[in-house]
Amino acid sequence: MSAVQKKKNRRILQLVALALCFVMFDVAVYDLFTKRYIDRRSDEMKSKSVEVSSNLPFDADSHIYKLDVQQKLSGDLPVLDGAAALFPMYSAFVNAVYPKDSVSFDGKDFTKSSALQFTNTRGAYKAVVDGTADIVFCAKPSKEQLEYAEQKGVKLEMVPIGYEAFVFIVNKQNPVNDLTTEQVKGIYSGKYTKWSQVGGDDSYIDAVQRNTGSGSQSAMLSFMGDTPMHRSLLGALFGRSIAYSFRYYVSNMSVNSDVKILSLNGVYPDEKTIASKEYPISSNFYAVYDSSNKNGNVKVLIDFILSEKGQQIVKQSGYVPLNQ
Amino acid sequence: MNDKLFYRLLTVITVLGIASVAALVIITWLLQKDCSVISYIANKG
Repeated sequence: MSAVQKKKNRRILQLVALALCFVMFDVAVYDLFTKRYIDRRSDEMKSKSVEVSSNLPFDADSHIYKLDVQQKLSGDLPVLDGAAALFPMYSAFVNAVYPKDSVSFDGKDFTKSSALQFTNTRGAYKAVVDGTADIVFCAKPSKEQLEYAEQKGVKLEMVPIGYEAFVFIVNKQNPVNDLTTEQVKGIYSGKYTKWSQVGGDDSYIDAVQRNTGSGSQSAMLSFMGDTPMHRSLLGALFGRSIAYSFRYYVSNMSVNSDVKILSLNGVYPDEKTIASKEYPISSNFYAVYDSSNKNGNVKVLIDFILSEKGQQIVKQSGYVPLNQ
Repeated sequence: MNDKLFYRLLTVITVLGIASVAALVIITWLLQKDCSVISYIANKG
């Protein structure tokens, strides 16, 4: 082979190798990161997820529980906002006691004049402190959210209106079905790094955390107490994941057959074990308002929520009422 | 293969390679923004 031919072959090889390097890098990025975020739920599953448009009040096709209450609120209507997981419930409150023309939805968002809003936990806590919402429906606020209220001179009143379980979820292929609360703390503190240490296979543990300020993250920080949370790089790249959320969100609003809820200390979270406190991490969710709010309807609405009919809405929306 | 053609092909492959990586990173970021924790657990195993 001539020197020219050799040089030509070497250059072709260099070009092919370079192209292959890019292809392999793309495949690795896709396999390690991109494909984890693809929404593979079926249309049926998506239809059951938290879609504001399918949980609107005053809509015949809405999925919310509809209770007919004769006495409607009038005058200055409190603006409601809150967490995604609680939206069907506070939408049902609006459906029960607000006049029909109080809600305005443009197909994507609620308009500014609407008495019902949806900005999720972080937005809702900001809204109640800033005065753009009168009552928000959420889990306990985070430290930052309390500090924000304090900075603005707002004292938040938190009225418990029902119970919900804080649950841990894994992929259905994970052989682990039960953890103790000590094991969960060990996983999230970095003490346990492999599933084999808590009764599973030899894979690494990816202890997934949630966004700061979300209801789930605040609940998890409260569960962990003073123990700092840790997520290992090996687990994040190659491990089997564990994450946390509220039971209703997992079982009703984000239906996905590839995910299962773990029992804790041998107790599976259902309405009975949440109400009896047998499930170890059951907590209240709240109607939260600014204590200096002068809108008289705030108290009226909260009294309704705590009444038999209001608690019936809590129960029929899939949560555990206070009196169960 | 003369030098001119080699460097032209080298440039084309490099540009396409960097563009594909950049596109994948952007797609991943966009998917991640809207991905629920449920989908993440379901996809990752």
